[in-house]
Amino acid sequence: MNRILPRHWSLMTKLPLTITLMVFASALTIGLVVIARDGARQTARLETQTLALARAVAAAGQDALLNRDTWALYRTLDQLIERQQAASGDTPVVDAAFLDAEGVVMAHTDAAAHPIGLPLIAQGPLASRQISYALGAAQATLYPAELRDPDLVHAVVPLRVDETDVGYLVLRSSMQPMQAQLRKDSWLVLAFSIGLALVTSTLGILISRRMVSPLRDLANGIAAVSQGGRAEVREVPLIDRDEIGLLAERFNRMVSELERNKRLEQDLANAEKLAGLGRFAAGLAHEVNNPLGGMKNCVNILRHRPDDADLVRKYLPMIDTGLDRISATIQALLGELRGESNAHPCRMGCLVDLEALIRAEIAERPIALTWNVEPQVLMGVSISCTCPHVHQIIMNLSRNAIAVMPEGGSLNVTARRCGGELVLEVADSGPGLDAAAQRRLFEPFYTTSRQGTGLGLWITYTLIQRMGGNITVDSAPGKGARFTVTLPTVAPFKVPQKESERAA
Amino acid sequence: MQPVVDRRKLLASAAAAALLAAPRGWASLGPGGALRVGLTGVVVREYMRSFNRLADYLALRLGRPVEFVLRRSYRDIMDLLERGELDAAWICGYPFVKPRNPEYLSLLVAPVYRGSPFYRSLLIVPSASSAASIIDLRGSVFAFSDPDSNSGYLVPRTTLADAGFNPDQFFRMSFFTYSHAETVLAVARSVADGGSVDSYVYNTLQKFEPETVSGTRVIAQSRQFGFPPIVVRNDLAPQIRDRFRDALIGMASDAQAVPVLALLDLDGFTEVSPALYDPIREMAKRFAKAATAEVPLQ
Repeated sequence: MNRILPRHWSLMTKLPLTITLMVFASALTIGLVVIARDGARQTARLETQTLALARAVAAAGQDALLNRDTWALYRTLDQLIERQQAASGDTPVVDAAFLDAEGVVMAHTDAAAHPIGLPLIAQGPLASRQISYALGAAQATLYPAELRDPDLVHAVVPLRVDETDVGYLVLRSSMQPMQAQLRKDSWLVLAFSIGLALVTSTLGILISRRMVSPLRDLANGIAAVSQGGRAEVREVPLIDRDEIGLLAERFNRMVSELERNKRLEQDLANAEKLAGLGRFAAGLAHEVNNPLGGMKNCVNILRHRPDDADLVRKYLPMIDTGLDRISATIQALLGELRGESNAHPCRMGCLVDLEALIRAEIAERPIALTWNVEPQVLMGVSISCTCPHVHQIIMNLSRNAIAVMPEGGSLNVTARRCGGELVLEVADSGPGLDAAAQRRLFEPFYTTSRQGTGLGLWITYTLIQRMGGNITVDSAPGKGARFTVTLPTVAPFKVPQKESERAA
Repeated sequence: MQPVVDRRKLLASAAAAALLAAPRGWASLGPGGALRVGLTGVVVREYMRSFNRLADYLALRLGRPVEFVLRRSYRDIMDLLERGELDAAWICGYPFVKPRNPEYLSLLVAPVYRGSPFYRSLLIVPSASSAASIIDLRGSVFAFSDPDSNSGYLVPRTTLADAGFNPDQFFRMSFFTYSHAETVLAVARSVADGGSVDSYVYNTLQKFEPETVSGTRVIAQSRQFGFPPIVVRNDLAPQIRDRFRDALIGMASDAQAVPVLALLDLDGFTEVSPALYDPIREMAKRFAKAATAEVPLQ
């Protein structure tokens, strides 16, 4: 439907069509104006010639009219007009007549229709008015326009001898040959205009194809770029060095810049990945190495004094502690890497005891806890996670917050529903994080404190990712930190009570 | 075609001989001793080619140039003849029979047309006309050839007079064309509703200008009259007159004259008695009487 409207047409159509129409219109207008001017000029020429011929015939016939020599008059008309026609074929005399002073025909070229010796036959009121005008003519003149027959030029020449009317010569010539020629010229102009329009439309199609094809390539290229399939973006071939050529050139330059940036980005990502792996390995080594040092000392002491029961009592638990720590680290790593977790529906009030746990963690520290978790916040929703996971996320974030505020401060925990999402917020008034720290915050083994394993936030991050959620941090040095977790809810959760009843 | 150079040489020598031989006291010939022959509308004067050929032929036979002289009316030619500005003329029977005092003309020869020295007057109308006789042309426009023409004036007017009409009042309008050929044109173009012409001219035109003649129709023809004769002035030197007569009469039996005669559409020339023109003479007398009687004929 829209294709019908010109603004939806292709440039390939619009451009040649516009050129063609403009050329056609101009050629036609110029041609018709020229023809109109030519027509006016030719009409004037025909009038002049008709009057001149009438004067000449009248002069030649004057004596014969005086002598009432009818045949000589007729021959004068016949021969002069015939000669004039032969000399300039474009004076198409229709008829001519000599009348005497009373309007009686003395000679008429159309003798059969206008017998001599009788008054000139007037057919119709116009002819009567023409005759009375002719018989009243005082000098050689053309009939006024309102007295002329259509397409004819009338001339009358009165013949006077010594102030006496002898008679009149009336002569009519036709404008039709001239008009036929003008019509022929008009057709010629039309044909020429159409021909010119055809030539220019062909030219227009060629030009527009040349202009439009790079534009189309550009559009396709831009579409490919916007879809991200930059690998398939081809360079637009350069044809002309005009504005479109410039555009194509700049597009090509942009494409190659994008290619380069993409390669750089990939290189950077690879480097980051490798660096992250290195840091992971170093962190793991550090975590294992620390207890290993203490345990090695214990083993060395026990080797030198294997029988000292006090020493054994003292150092074996220390070795156990070291081994436990290594084991815990490995367990934590393994657990997260395996992604083991069994999805259980959330229970009502599952977050209630969390507040007590956090307060226990705060213990004697002067930290003000603001607990903004509605007990029913998880009611009626199903999130692709389990209650312990939500529990763990809040716990981990709160524990970190408490750890960075040894001198006290405020801790703000919020859980609320926002649209189809569950939003958790943990905000502290601690020292805050700089930009570099924020970037690496969720890497495994990254920590800002001596005591931390650097796995807490990484585990939190991994959990959230697995649930299809998102975690952001809003922080600046000295301004505290606010972690915001967004978790999508999947579908209305309807069955927890029934299930618990059935289990019971 | 005759070789032009030969003709000129011959004419020059012939002219010189003629000047020396010309007897004193006789009518003078034209410049260079040319024999001046007047032509009237009894022939198609516009057929210049045929008269040039005839002049060339006669010049050879006469040993002197022959010059044909054209004038508008028969009257002009008769005046020239009378004044001696012409030596001979091809005139109509009507002016020939008009009484002259003193008589300065004599009959030389008459043409032989279709086997005899006779012709007729034809009454013609436009081919679309419904007229069946001259009576039907009453109140219309009539074309006469010449007031001194037998076939083109005397015959139709006498016919009307014989039928009891006043020829001056019979037609609405009449005019003279001063030539039979022009009369045919006037009728063919419907300028005139009828006309009276020489049968010889009409038939010749039919041969050479059939499209003009096809616009006309013959509705009546007269009895036959003596063909327009060739006359000479009485004071023309007898030997020239005789050679002229012999040359004309000899044409019929001269192979060289055949193409000339063919152009003129004639069989030849023959000597005739002036009595040949008596019917015209009688008619002219009657006509003159009627015209002077001033008695209404109608």
